[in-house]
Amino acid sequence: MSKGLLVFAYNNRAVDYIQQAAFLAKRAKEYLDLPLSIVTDDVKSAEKWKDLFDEIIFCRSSAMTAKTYNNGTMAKQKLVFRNDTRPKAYQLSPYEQTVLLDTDYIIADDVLKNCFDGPNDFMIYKDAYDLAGFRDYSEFKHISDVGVEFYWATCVYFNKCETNKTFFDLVQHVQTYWTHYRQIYRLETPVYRNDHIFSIAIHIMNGFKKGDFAAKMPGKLYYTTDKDILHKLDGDEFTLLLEKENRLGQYTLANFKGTSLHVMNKFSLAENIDV
Amino acid sequence: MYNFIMLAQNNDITDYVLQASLCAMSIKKSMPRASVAVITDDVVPTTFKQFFDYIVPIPWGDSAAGEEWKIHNRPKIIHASPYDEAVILDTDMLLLDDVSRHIKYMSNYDVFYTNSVLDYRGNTVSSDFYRKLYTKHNIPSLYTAFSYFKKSDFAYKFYEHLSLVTENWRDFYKVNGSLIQNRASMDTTVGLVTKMLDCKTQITARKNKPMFVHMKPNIQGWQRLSEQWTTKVGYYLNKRLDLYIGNYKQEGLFHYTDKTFINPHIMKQYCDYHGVRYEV
Repeated sequence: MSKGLLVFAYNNRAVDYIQQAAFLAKRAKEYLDLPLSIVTDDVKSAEKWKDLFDEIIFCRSSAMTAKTYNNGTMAKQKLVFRNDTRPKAYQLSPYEQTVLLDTDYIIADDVLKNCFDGPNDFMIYKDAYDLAGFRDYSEFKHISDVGVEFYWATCVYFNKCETNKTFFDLVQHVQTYWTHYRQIYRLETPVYRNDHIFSIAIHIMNGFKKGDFAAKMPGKLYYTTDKDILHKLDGDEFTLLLEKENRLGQYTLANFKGTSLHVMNKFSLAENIDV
Repeated sequence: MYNFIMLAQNNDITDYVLQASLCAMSIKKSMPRASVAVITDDVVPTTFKQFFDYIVPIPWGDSAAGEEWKIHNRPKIIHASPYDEAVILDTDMLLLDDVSRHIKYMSNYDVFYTNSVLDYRGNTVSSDFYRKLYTKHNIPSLYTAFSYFKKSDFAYKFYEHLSLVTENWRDFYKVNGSLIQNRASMDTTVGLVTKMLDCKTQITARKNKPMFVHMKPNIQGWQRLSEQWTTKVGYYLNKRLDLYIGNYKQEGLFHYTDKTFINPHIMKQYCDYHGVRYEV
């Protein structure tokens, strides 16, 4: 069966998601020996790195969501964020077995290889670990205070099967009727997040209760938020400046090695990408 | 055949007989062959009499006369029970599914109380928000909303002590001369009697599976505390009488605790299911 990674990349005026995807493709080859395909609306830009991408798949985005992008604790910008095509991952993936990733997930180990030989058709992380340690992560436990369990759409494994087709159809349904579901599931933020619609769809797939539709991805999902800074990336070694609690503008120097990391600060990530 | 029994005494604020009637309707839906008894001195509306196999008067007078929080007759249940063995339910419970697996497990004991409950999201409750005094005074944390007895020497002895503590709770609830809480509660009384008789292993498991959903608001895993769960999270019964709280389908026994949960709409849904007329 064909295996590969799939990412969705839609640039805005300040963040080059396609470049991130190219960097990820390079690392996927290095650490996992797996191909990576990109879904984008800017095929021309993607073709700059056509040697790195297995397939370049065109898909138009209609989203015009704005969100705040922090660059550490002292700088931020409001930018367009287009994340509405990820629910089409099932139909767009050229692979029988796919790991769907965010472009800012930096592969630094071979843990994701373990997705492909296991018995699970669908895997996703429910828990994630913030390197800073002190931040309130309650928004990542449930999608709202009274809501259902939170799952990370950052890193998802699925294979092509009827159940997963139903799941992704359901994800698209929730997306289509987002205004309704946002109210029913008591979302407190109006910002559309794939994490939320994946979480709601998983809950429904489980028959509106705890269930086993979604198995746990292998390993652990570690992340740093965009209030931290990636100072240096050298192979599998990350040097980070982590936001300090109650000390605006101050950081704790940290080293993280040998494990993949979700780096949410797109600006400092761009400074460390060599592709 | 499984037997359920409730004690229902109305006060000025709450119609416990109505709660017991709703609970009985839910039992008759989920476990149609089960027998249901209510112990009460209040009038059971004609509409609801059919859902009770036995309506039993409270024996030896009302020990809770003049009390707003009427738990004083609870220890009489074993004596008033028409059954040799039965499950005792609080009236503010709904039986949403067959729970015979739990009852079979409980029937390994002469008296059984669960030490574990769930929140509405299916998580085992670990918070001692309402039970800090239990932790502080090392009182066994047991839940009396769903318990079991079979008539036996041990069960009578246990209930005799429940009666003793209930009648003299102001003395038994004192630690170093101070009351540990300012009103009697069955959970505390059962915990104290368990401690007095040193019989924890005889009336509960070391760690049993959670046996019901407990809707006290501040054990639901919410970040922001709340006085009432019914104003915090959405809930509805669908046409099949499946109960959803915050989009979570509830199963087994559901302890709603908040009296406002039982509204005319929910009563009517259950009455419609059973084909009886309900007038508000």
